[in-house]
Amino acid sequence: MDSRSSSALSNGVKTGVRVKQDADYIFHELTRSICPECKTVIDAQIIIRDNKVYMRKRCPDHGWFEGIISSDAQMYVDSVKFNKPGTLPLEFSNEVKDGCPLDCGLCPEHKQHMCLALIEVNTICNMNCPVCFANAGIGYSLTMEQVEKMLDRFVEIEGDPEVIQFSGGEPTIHPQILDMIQAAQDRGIRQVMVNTNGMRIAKDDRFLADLARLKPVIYFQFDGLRRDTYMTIRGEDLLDQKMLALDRMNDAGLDAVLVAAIERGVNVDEVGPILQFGLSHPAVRGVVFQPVTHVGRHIPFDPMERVTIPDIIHGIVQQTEGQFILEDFVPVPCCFPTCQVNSYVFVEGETVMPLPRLLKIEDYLDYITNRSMPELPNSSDIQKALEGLWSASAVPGTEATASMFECACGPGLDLGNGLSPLNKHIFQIAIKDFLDSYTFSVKQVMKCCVGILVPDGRIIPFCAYNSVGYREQIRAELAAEQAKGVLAKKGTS
Amino acid sequence: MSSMDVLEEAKAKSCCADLYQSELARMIMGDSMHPGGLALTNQMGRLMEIQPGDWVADLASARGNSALAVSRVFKCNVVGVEFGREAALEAHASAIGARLSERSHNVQGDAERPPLRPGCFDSAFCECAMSLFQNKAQAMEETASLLRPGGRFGLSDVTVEPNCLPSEMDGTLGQLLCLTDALTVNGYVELMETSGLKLLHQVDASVEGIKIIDALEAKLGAYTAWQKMSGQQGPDPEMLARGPELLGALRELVQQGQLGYWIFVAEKPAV
Repeated sequence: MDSRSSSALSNGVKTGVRVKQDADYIFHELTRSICPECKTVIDAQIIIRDNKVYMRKRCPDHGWFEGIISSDAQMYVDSVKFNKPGTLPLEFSNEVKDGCPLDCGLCPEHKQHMCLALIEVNTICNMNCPVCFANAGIGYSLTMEQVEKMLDRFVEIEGDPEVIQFSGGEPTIHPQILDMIQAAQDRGIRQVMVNTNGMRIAKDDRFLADLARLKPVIYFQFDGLRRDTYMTIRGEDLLDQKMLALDRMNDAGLDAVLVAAIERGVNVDEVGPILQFGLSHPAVRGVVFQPVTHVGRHIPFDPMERVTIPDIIHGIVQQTEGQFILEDFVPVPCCFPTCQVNSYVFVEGETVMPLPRLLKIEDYLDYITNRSMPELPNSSDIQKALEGLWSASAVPGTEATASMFECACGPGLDLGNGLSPLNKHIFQIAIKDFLDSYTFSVKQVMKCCVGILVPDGRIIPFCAYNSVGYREQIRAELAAEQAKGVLAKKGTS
Repeated sequence: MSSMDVLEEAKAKSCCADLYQSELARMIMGDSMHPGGLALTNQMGRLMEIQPGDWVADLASARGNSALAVSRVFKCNVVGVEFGREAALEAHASAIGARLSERSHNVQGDAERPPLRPGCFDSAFCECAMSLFQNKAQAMEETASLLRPGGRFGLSDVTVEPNCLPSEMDGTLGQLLCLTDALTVNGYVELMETSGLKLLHQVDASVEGIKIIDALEAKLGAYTAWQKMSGQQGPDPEMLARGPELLGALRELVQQGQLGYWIFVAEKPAV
């Protein structure tokens, strides 16, 4: 019996006065999501309770589901004003038929072009981590020809693509990964990244030398500074190999971005130390914190307790003892602004100066409420530069990022001495909360600017690829196609 | 042409090559040395319909970045011709480093009179260099003669309407930005047609000019900031001080269509 019927006795005789009850939450908005069990697209309510934001939804077959999407409602609501008009790609690949997220490719209802595209060159890995959103294992390995076609397609869609990231599986064990990096660079794609666990970098001198010649940015899986963190997330103690790989990258002149998967009860207390370690290591140009996405392989989790962006921001503020403040972190406008926050830091020796302390970013990137404000000095130049920085395609350590940082600050601001080369002094912090089946929101996916390129020419928003069933379907198709090719070869030999 | 004229011409070319080999050029233009970078090079290559195994000449190939990329992307053979010795050597070293020296060759020579056998090339291209050539008609005829019948020529270059440039652009900066001797859109088309080529495509890529101006503004800001903080003086403080104004003027010219960047693809008619 719930509170609304408390005025009725069990025999049905009504007594006393009926009192309307307040809900214990604010209904914030309605979106579309998926059932975590059967992936059917269903309505989802976004509700605010005790200053936290939750997604609540009901599947006709599997009942109610609820999960936290932000542990700080104020931060969540405030971020909306950073939403900016999207820029559409030159081409779409699919018609609208069944509606988002079932027509991905992109379809013409998508609201943003792709700032960053990933190519998963293989599914196998030299690790077997308990946490792996890609569920690495036996599957497929793309051919050079397939990758070249995908790169050409990316150029067709984007015209002037910003960032390509090679991922897997483990891309560094693909026998043609170096040729693939070169092929991306040959097509004028401005930044090429390799997403790796670093095991091959730690061991293979020749590979490292070849990689250093091509100079991709290394998107380096680095979950913490404690051995037990690696034991839990990666299944073995990798700390020494991670440190060795980083030192070898530094010796080879490669720039690295630390990418930390953050899980409740494992390493939330390490976000500050990871950041400070990154700031102090000469090879590291940035840190990306990613709350663990509960797709593929993951450790058991409680959807009401998952890590969200504010947990990481608060963690950094608390664990760095005054070095960072909440206002140093600003939502990213190119994607839906609840998906990612960034900060940029100028580092010179012991000086660590977050850019938002030098310039009130909000004045330039507040797209909703600032429309009626008088023009700020140099506002269009600064806004352009900041949009570049607060974009999913900003790659730490690159000349483009350095130039924009400089332009954003303006020559009148004293950033310290010896500002050349600039890119070695600029450090990016990004916190990216990828969606899983408990947090999946069509509203966010429709403006997603990180996509996975697939060999048939589609580019599928990252979170749709992982949560809706695209990954499983495409992997099965590619694996079957590859097996057929092998069998045909055997038949002819 | 008198021996004095030949000497003057050689001096001018050498000066131009030196300029393009300089760190200043690399700072301003980046590694690809022309608007649109390799993405635009590949776009032109697709319009030229370069096929695997084709022989392609890259005229004024600088450090060989485009030649190497075209060779890999289109799986063709590329011969780069570059006047600057250092740049040609660097291009050669890059081809060896990339294990591509069998398909990517580099020759030090005058791209206006390429030291290559006539009639042997399936394609030739020239990026952001025709505008710098002193005798464009002759250079174009030499280029056309390299092509086999049915061969294609790709040209990407700065276009300028007459008398629209600020006077500061007469000097080094104008030369670096390929503005000084650039032609109009029709000027390039006439040049190609006079040499017997038939125009197939012309594409307005002026948006790439705007991107270069954006990048130059950011770099100028960075350079000015570096000067202020380090206390070091740049090579041309007056030019740096006037930089933002000049770039603003150039941006306006691009927006008005008086300054642009275009791709042209033409074909040598089959006999």
